[in-house]
Amino acid sequence: MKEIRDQNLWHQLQNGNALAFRQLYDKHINALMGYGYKFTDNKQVIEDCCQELFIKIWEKRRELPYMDKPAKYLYSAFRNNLVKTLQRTENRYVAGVREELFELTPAADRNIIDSESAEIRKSQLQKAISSLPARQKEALYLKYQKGMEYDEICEIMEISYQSVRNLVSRALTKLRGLIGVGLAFILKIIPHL
Amino acid sequence: MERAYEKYNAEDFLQDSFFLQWMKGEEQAAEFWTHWLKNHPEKRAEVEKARTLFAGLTFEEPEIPQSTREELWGKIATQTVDKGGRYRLHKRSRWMQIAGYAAMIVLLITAAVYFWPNTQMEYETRMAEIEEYKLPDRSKVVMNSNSFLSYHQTDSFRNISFKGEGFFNVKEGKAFRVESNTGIVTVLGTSFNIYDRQDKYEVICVSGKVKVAIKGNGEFILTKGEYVRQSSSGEVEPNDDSPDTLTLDAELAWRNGEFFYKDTRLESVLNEVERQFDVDIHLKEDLKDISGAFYFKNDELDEAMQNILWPLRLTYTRENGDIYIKK
Repeated sequence: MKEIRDQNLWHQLQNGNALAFRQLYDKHINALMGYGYKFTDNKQVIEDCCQELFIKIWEKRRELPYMDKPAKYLYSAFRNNLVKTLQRTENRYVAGVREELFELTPAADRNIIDSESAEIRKSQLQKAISSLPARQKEALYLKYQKGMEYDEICEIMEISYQSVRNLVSRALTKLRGLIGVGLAFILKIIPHL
Repeated sequence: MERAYEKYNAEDFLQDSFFLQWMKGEEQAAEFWTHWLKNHPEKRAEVEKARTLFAGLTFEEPEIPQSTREELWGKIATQTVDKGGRYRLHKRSRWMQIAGYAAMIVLLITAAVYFWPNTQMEYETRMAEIEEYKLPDRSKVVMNSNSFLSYHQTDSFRNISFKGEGFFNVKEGKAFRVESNTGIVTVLGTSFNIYDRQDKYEVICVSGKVKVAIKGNGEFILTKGEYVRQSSSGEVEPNDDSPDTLTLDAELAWRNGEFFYKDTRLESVLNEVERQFDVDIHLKEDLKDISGAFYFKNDELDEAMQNILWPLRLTYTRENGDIYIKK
């Protein structure tokens, strides 16, 4: 069974195919909710935003444009709605400045069998990553976890192409600095070239 | 492929899409980078750092329980697809089918009369080919599979005979004419898409202004996004003063090998698949008149078939290279 491409699902959906709508939901709902949990732990808000997104898509299916990457639209519409809702409901302002949140937890490395060094490594990375500004973390997440291109990320985050590049490169420079010092020793256990 | 990689540090590598292809385990990229590292042993440390960093950039994702997803879908469904208004397939009436065959015979006779003795320049695309050609006046044409273009060298270059499907981007100048079986398109400088095959004649204006004369059916002036279409049964669309505009990106996606159809007969779509993959497809009579929305891409046949047949819940088998559609 070959995969039904996103473009096709989108095209069928625009032409009123309920089956395609369901399939698009099944294919992306996990990823969208996962993305949502990086912004907040509020399950209700995340589910509401997903629900609104998919209802809107179905209602506006005839007006929405043709898309070669429907996933990009799903992420950007979802993010936009979620961020607005969070600003409204949770009081995310500290001393008048909007406080942005984006939490990332490094995944446990399966290559490391020794659980003790795995723990050290994880907490080191955790510390390094959590010290980054929210937008840098988000850019790293979309780029490396989701494997997106810069032009997709800038549409989702609603910032310019150059800004995305800057966010990624600043974050990498900072993490690399940390690797240069203490982490290199712990991270040595990566498979050989 | 060889860029200034010798000067890259770990961050640069991690922002290079080709390097990331290697990290994601793509074979071609792996081959290149292993080889490159052999020639640049001094970069090993930097690459090692990049790999380490990359490995650190995987994050935990929450488990979303099946029950949550189902429950959420239930809420969405009651407000959308379960509210009524179901997806339905259309069937064509019998007489339309007969009219279609009649028109096809007329077209075939026209085609037979069409061939001239050969003092002309010719471009031809065969099955499974999409090619771009430059004409002497620097106008460009992208020709879809199984299409044919010719012009007399002695004539003005801007008098084109055409069969099949093509996207024309015309340099400004004097009148540029494209004559095909069913009609004549005249423009000064603009871009448009022309499709003239058995199932229909269609001209879409992409930019500027286009004049279309359909043989025996009058003249139409089109501006950006507008189209005129004559079905095999001779019906012309739009038939009033309110031309529908089309989604140009979708209509022109064939140039990148992607095909979108709305309210189109399955048979027409499968004919395009035959042209794109140079394959024979057998479709039983009772399935020919099913129509609906379809999509396929011309890179992999099995995937294309799956994408086309999926909304209709049909399947297919392959025997001796031919494809048979089954219920």
